[in-house]
Amino acid sequence: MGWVRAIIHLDLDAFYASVEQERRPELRGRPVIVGGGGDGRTARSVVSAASYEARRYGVHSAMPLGRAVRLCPTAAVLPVDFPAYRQASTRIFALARALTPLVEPLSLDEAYLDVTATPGDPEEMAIRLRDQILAETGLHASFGIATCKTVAKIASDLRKPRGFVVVRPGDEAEFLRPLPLRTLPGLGPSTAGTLAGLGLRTLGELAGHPAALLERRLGKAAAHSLTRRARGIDTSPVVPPSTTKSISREETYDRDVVDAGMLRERVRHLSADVGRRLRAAGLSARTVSLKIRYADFTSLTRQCPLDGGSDSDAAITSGALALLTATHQPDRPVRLVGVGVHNLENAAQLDLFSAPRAARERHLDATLDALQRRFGPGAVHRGAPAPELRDLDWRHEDLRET
Amino acid sequence: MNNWPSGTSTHTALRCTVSPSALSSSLSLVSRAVSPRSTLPVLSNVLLETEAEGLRVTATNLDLTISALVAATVLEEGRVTVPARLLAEYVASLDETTCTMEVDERTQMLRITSGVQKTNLHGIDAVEFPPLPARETAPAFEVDAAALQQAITQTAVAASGDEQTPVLTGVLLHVEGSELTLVATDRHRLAVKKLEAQVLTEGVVSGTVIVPARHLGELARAINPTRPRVGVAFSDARNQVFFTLRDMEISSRLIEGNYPNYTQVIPAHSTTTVVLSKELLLKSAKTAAVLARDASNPVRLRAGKGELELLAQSAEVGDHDAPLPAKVDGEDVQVAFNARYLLDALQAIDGEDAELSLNGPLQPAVVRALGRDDYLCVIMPVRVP
Repeated sequence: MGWVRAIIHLDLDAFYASVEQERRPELRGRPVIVGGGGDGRTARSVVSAASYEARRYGVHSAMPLGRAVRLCPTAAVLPVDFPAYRQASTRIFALARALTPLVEPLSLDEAYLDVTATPGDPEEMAIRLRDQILAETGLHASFGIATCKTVAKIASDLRKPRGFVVVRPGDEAEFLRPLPLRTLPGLGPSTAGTLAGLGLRTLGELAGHPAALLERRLGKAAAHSLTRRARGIDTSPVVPPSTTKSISREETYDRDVVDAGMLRERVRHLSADVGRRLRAAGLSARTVSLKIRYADFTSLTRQCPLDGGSDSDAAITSGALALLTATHQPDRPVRLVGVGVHNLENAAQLDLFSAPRAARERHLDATLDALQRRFGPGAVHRGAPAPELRDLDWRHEDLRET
Repeated sequence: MNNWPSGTSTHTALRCTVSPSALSSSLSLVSRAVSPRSTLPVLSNVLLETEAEGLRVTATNLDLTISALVAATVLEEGRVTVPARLLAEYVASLDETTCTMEVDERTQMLRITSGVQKTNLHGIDAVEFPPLPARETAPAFEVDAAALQQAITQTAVAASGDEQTPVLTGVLLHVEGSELTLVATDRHRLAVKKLEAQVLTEGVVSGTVIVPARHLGELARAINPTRPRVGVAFSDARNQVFFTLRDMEISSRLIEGNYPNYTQVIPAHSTTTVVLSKELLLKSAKTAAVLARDASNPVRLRAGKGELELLAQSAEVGDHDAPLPAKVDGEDVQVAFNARYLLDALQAIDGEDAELSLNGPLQPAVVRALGRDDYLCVIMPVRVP
């Protein structure tokens, strides 16, 4: 049987700890724990990652750091250095994208690749990718290769670290049959408990159990999806992320703000900042949101559409101010205000009735952006309230008047 | 309950014989005005009432009222309301050429006898049916039904679905002398159609109303060759419009409010004119639309050197590129439009050749059939990187 679909699940081994070991050769082969801010205080920190050497002592991620250090006193405890991990991750995913554009990262160290349309044998492609990652970054990864995401992920997890498991087309059900229920991604302790109550222990038993009998306990959709996946049937696609999902900016005040005029001024300022970053990314937004946190820490977030999408300060500001007017209770002291834009795309439908005004706004935005690039943020900003872009130019003509 | 005494009841109100197929076709049009989820039970019903010429069937959701006259032999005058969907489905199932309908005044039960079948339907007293909007003026003007049907199809597509701006969910009807203009816009595109109207009243007829686009759609649906003319009348209060057809009347509330000044956004000039086969462009735009997957479905047009090139790309899906032979006058230009709007415009125009009048990447463009002035679409571009 040929590869109808070929999905690779790539999962780096003890990623954060391995990055640390890679850049500090003296740590190689030694237990390494990544966690905390590096200030020596372990009381409130947890383990973000542990090398396999540390895991032998019973250390695992999300464990309180203090406890981890007691379990493994010889471990090197290092602060979390996200920029370094992100950099390594970017290099690895770039190698993956050279193989196929269909790369769906799940986190910095884990991704699905759909190589169905890439010429060649999926197993050989994965071997090449594994060798390239090791050569370029010194990092090891585990691979699962199968016809769907569910089976590929289970396969990569089976022989970690440095695992390499291929499940050939048609072998899915056989491969899954002996595995315990919890190996199925998304099958949590509560569902596993329910299934155990029905006498089910393995994926094979789950696959053989009539879905109709599960429906009553789990609901129709969940029962159907679980039995299908337990048989190795999963048609969910590998979806590459759309680049930027949202842009937002918020600020917390040293002293709570009550003055309405001051709040509106801050919303204008935040909107302009978001607008500048939106334009710098070459995007426009279809939604604007406003976040308010009051002094008593109750928060609210509201959003409204930007008709057809926009990247102009005026549109974002007028949307955010309208949300402020609609939701804010005037006398409550405010601790935090945030403005965000969402549903971003790199195209914007223009509006017939605001075309001339929009052209002027565009020119003004571009001028302000250029000045800020040259002289820094805060060098110049809009003084007057942004005009309402939403007004139509109505013609007063009506049959009923004549 | 089938224990009704046979024979003529002394309490009968409304008795007539009618052809089930004629009644069925009228009911299918009239039922479009029935509220699917009304809090008022009688609004789920259709009103049946006898008239000199036959049986009138009427349904309303208070915004839209549709009534049709069905040829019938009236034996006894009367009125009743019965569930519209039930009656329509039942009558559609009858094979006989005629059926008799009669109502028991006391129980408001409608009995339909057809061949050997006898069926009783529970009705609601006609007095419960809301009073229908009264047409208090004679038709102001009349238009050719087929031309109006086409005009509605060509414009209603551009009306907005956004209830936030109610006037834009309607189609503007503007009559001036013997010319009727239909206009619709959703702020991103605009459709304008002119057709000839025959003025029926004395003096100058001039004025503007806004009719819900959906209601005009129901009018367009009712038009066929047996209904060749459409008369247009208004209520005295000027808040209702009445479209009268041979055997039907459709009335709609008007949308209150001021319509944007659409004439000022129709470009008078263009910097680039492109003329090419409408079919070729339509086909290519359809293919490109498949790949225009972003929210604003952008399809890029590049005009120059005797060619119009259509490009569409989507990060997730792929890209599409199609050069088409075209007559290009003026500046070379690149502009993007929502593929949906371009397709709607091309599908709405007559003629073999389409004329695109472009004004650069940020200004409105005009799509029309080459040499035709009765219909045009203005489309605002999508700004692309």
